[in-house]
Amino acid sequence: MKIAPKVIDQIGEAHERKNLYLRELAALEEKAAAAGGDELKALQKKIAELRRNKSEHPYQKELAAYRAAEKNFLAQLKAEEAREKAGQPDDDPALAKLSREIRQSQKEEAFYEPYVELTYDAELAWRNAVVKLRHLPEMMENRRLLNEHIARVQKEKQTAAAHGDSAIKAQISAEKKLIEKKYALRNQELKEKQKSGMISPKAVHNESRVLKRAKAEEIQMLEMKDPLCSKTEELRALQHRHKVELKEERAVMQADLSDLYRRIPVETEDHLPLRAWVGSLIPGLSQLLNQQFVKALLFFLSGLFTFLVAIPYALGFGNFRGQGIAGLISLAEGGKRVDRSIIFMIEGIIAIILLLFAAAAYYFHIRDSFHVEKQRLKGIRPNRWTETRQEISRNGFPYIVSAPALIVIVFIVLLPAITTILLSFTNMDPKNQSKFVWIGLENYKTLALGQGVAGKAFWLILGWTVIWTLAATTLAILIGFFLALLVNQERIRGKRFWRTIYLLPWAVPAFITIMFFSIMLAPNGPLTEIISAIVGHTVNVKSDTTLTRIALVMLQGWLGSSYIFLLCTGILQSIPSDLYEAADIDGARGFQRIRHITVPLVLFQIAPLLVTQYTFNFNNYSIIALFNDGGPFFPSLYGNLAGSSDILISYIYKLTIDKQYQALGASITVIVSAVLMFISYLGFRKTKAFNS
Amino acid sequence: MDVSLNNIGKKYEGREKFTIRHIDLEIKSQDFCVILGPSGCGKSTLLRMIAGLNSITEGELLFGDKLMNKVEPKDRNIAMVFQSYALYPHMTVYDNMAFSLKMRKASKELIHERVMEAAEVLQIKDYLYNRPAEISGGQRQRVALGRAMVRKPAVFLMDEPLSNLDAKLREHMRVELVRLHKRLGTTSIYVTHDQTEAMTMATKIVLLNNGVIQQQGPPEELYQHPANLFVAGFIGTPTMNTFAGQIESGQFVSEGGSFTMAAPEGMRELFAAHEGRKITLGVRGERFEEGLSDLNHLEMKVEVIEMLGKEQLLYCTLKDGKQCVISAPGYKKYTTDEDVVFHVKPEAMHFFDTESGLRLENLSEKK
Repeated sequence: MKIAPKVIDQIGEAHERKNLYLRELAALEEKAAAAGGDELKALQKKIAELRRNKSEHPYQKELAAYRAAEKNFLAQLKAEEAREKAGQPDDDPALAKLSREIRQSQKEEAFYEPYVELTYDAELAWRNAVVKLRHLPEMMENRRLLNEHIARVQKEKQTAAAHGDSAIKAQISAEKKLIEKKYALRNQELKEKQKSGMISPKAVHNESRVLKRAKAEEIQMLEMKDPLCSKTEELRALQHRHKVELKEERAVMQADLSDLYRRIPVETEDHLPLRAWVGSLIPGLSQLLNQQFVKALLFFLSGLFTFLVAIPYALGFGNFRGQGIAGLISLAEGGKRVDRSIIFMIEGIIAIILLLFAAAAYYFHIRDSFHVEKQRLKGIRPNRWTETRQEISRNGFPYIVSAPALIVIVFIVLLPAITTILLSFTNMDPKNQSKFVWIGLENYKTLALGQGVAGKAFWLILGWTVIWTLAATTLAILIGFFLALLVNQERIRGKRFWRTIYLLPWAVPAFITIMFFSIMLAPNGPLTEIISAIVGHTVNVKSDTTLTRIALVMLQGWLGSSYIFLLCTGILQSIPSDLYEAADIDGARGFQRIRHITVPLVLFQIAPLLVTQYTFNFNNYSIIALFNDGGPFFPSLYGNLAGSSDILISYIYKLTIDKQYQALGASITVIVSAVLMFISYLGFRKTKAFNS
Repeated sequence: MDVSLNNIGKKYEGREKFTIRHIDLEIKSQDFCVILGPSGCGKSTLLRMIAGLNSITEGELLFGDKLMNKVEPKDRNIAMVFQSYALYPHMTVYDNMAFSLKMRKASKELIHERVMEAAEVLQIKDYLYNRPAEISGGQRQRVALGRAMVRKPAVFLMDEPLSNLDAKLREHMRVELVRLHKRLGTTSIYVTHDQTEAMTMATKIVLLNNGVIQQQGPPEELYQHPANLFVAGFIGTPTMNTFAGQIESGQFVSEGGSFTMAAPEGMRELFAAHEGRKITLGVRGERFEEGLSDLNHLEMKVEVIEMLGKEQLLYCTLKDGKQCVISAPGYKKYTTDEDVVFHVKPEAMHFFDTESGLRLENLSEKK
């Protein structure tokens, strides 16, 4: 990398180099780039010579002299500061600090001024001092005045307390009574007006609220007439100012100083981001080299996490039972009796997550150190903590706030999800509970081919699940929409009554409704008897696949309709009536109005919500389990594991909880999740909630 | 307090171009500066940068001699009136006005005193303890102003504060605002797209378009000496009449040659220097005078008459089909389809370079 002829500040403006040695070098390099042949050789020689005799260069000598003088000056300044600190005990330490800072800045201004043209560092220090001298005296003056003010008020308060004027107190309480009387009278007036029917109860309510507030305010101001009370209050306000004012003024000054820092470039003789390369070994080191102490500490902590937590855990140290990442591969194969594969798997996943966190931290460290270093080579000063903090609070605040939640989410959402996915590639079944091994896609193959005890019923169940989802949800939507239309008719009386009725299926817990129908339709249940009596022969709903399925769909249609009813009612009421009036004039009547105006408007708005209804029924475990527990059962078709009204979710339940086919259950879960995610995505991708 | 903007620019994140750039502006203490411009010209962005609600991408913002670029809004000692008022709906008028001082933990006496003072000035004493929902739009507007006044800020910022009021009330509040500014003497920066508001209230107008300052100065300067065609067209109702044409042998000849105008006294040399250049003539509606004169007269036919009472607007067509609006006193009688002759005094004529839109005088300055 060559030395650029000019340096660039953070704002992007180019500055002439002040380092004459570097300027000369840059000029020569520029010439060399354009030259060729002998001239190039001569120039290269010249460059090499210049580099070799660097310390002999007049500028470098001058710079070294300056550095020495500065070191001397700073040491002197420090000593003086310590002396002053010890020497003068002041009433207000802030004031003492301000005056100390002013004196310091004056000295700095005087010291750095002759060096301004020598180096940008001196210019920065000098202009810093100038800016401080512009702000500090005013701050000090404000502070002094405030202190005086406080002292004065304190004195006044003391005198007031000493006097304890009882005459004023008596006067105040007398006036207070008068005020109370006045407002009582006004309230009385209001009541009378209401009685005579001149104003409404609501107006009285509002007015009396206003009166109450006005009275409170008036009494408060009256109490302030007592000097003691008034002075206490004033003192409180002043003391608050005493606490915050200087801080605010300092913030303004700091903004000014930060701006200088951004505008005055830095010059370095480095060609390569060496600090970043060196620092890449230990997080925080390169930041430390750039004197970004707080940032360095933060990155160092992340390094501690990497080297003391993440990597040891991944290697198996500190695990509960497992062996870190190695355990994830071996799954406790050939281990002790107490070693369980599932624990090894989970700890392996945790190890991977921790490593990912560590990798992210390391990535940020590398990115930051190279970024800062590259900027520095260009001439931009590395941010100090004040600037970094400002930047974080401006741009990074949302990330910092959501970071803890994100970490928790990773462990409570991502961890189980990954475990499920990995489990679907193992052979965890009744025979292999404690120890299982990786078997690749074997489970998916079993399901796809419908093999084995567990896989036999998969396709049958999948088919019924799809039919169930479509039929039950569509029925619910139709019922809900139709009822909403009906109740919203202008001519219907008792709308509130009908709405309550149609919301009942939602208000009564679905559990109870389902159990009720389940009992009624049992072989000896009342409904069964009635139906049998009407038809003329025994109709046993629960032992007939088709009838059970029809009953389920109808039941869910009824249960699900309430939600759709509520949604549609809301939207129907928000359709402006002038749309219908316009349609009337355009010649649309009755059914046409519904078809061309109502249905499109309502559907357009609830479409995304309908998707959730479909996904809900796809996973509607409770109604299947409660109504007939997946029955009736046909072992020849379905095996011993499931019945003919089982849907995938209840099938998964039976596989994993009842029969301990966890791996197979996990593979079905993975398939179901993939399908549902895809469908939900299709439904939601056009909605606002998803996009923004 | 003086407010100065040095080369201010703003680029929103994710946009390629600067919304507004190279803005240099000096607002003197006690000025009532109106930032005027069509919607989308960046005027609100500019105000929000001064308030500290938007960050500044480049340039310097100074209050007095202090750099404000990165200072938090609360530390800037400013108050702002929003277009929608932004009154807190759950607080009474009194609490709304007291809020900023309460946040600074000022003493109750001081708060009461300031609120009462503002209420007195703005005549809202009668509903101090009502909620914003219970009072009218105009009253809410006053409360919003009061809330800003109570703090006694160094700079007053107003973002189209009158645009939600009806026409009559707006007229009234305009005068009130000017009165208020006279009384308080606070440096005020006011953003609007309404040129009438700008003309009536400002001591200094800054006209923005496409993120560039077109002209700045006192209202009469913008009206009498528009710096370019945009300013000429934006300021004043009815809009200034413009006629395209060119300089031929020291005279303005309109496109198509339907009329010629002699160069005004002081501009002969300028005309000679720009012989053959395409220029645009601008004449304000009220500067047409009826009847013939030695030169500079126009023959036209009245098409539509808009009677406004004290004046009437005549929408006329020139012989070559060009349109032109003339503002004539209301008492004179005109009929549609009547043929009329008007003349223009030389000092009422503005000449602009057609290509760049710049005023002819300014054009030569630049060269």
